[in-house]
Amino acid sequence: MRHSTNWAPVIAGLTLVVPAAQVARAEIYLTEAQATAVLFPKIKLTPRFIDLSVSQCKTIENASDEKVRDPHVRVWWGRKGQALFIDRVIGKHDFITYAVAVTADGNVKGIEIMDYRETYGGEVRRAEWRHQFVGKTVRDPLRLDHDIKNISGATLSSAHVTAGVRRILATYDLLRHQR
Amino acid sequence: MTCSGISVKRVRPLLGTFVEIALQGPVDEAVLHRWMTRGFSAVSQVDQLMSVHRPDSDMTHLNQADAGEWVRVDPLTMNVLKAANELWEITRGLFDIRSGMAGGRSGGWPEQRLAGESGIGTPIKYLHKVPITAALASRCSGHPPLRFSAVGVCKSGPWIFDLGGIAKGFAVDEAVECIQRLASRFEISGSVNAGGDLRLWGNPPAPAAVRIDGMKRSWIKPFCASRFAMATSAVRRTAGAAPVSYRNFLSGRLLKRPYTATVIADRCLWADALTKVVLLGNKEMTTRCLAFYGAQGVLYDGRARVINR
Repeated sequence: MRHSTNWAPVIAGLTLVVPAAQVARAEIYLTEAQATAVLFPKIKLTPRFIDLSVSQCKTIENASDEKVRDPHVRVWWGRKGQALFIDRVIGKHDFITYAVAVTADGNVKGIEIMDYRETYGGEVRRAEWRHQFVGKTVRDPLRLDHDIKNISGATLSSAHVTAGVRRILATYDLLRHQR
Repeated sequence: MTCSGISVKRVRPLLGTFVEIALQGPVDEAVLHRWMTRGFSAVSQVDQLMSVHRPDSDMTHLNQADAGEWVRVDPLTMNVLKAANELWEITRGLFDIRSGMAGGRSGGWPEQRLAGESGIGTPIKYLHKVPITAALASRCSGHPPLRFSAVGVCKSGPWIFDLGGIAKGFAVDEAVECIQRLASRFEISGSVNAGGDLRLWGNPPAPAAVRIDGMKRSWIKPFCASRFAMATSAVRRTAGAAPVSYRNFLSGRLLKRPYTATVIADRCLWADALTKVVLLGNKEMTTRCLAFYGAQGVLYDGRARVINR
């Protein structure tokens, strides 16, 4: 045997008959100020929010192969052309808000998820299921946002975020000459 | 000994999933963020070295090499490749990283995917495209997927590898060990979760849960522990989610009914690999492999009931 750790107590918990539950999880990881501090520490950024024109949206869509769903762009610029974008994409069921730091030469410096919500259960798309869930989590002992912070097996693809980042890079390319 | 003080949690999209790091301890928030950033860098390094989606990764170089051609790889990659060979031997070929189907998970060929984390780039070209049957024949002949020397590593045949879950498990282990080194003088508790590969350390015991996918719905099984590495793999047929199935290449059997396997071990690398053994292996193999790695596993059916075998 290579290892000798005793996992019996944990396994005993996993085999107990526990009432099955379906729960939602809403996490806020970083505020705007925290995201800025993490991604661009010690750099002063100035906000400049822009509404893209129809032709600008078209240019970005052609360059990124991603649909521009919201023409309102939230971007903070650094003195040397660095930029911090705060954007959101639709995840599996709900929106994911994330921050992308772009260097002055147009490369991704970092990506931080700011918040996302996920719901476990195949029925989540059904309105009645969602309705019966609303308000019940407050009393639910299995509130994920307060009690259970770690889930094994809760695989979420990050493909939608990486597609969003592709659109952000095309947006940066368009806007950096106009700032 | 109880950890208290500031707690912070961050998520980054890495390894094709969301990687979450949470830390708690009696230090400044800025310090916790700095340690976290180092933890994310450790995960990112594994991603850069071992992703089959990156044209410049060690795994892509190895996949593009001829059989018998020695390829120099990073020591971290070498560690995981040696673990993969060991797992192949211990599981008598049930766990296999060949043909882009680590552990028998059914999926596409790596060259059909786009290069680069952002999905931008050209498809990776490989010299060989080996049918599954050829890989199966080699398994039956008893040759491990890789050979090692001081020069590097070489393939025992014209294989395409995908480290899949064990690279993800290794990345979690690397992040945890990096943070623990940095925080060695402090009482820090924390967790790293990469798409279901989960590692927790510190006190007090933290609530955690296993997600179990059934045919029509999913369940959450809660438990409490203070220090463990855990991985969960599932044959998924849940409505609205991409189906995932696993094939036992030794028997040819395709596992399609919803099963979920959870393994607890010392390291996520072993836990992740062993979930495939629990899903696909018979009782003798599962018991033997779990015992070898000092691990324990649970198999659930599509109604979240524990299967005793």
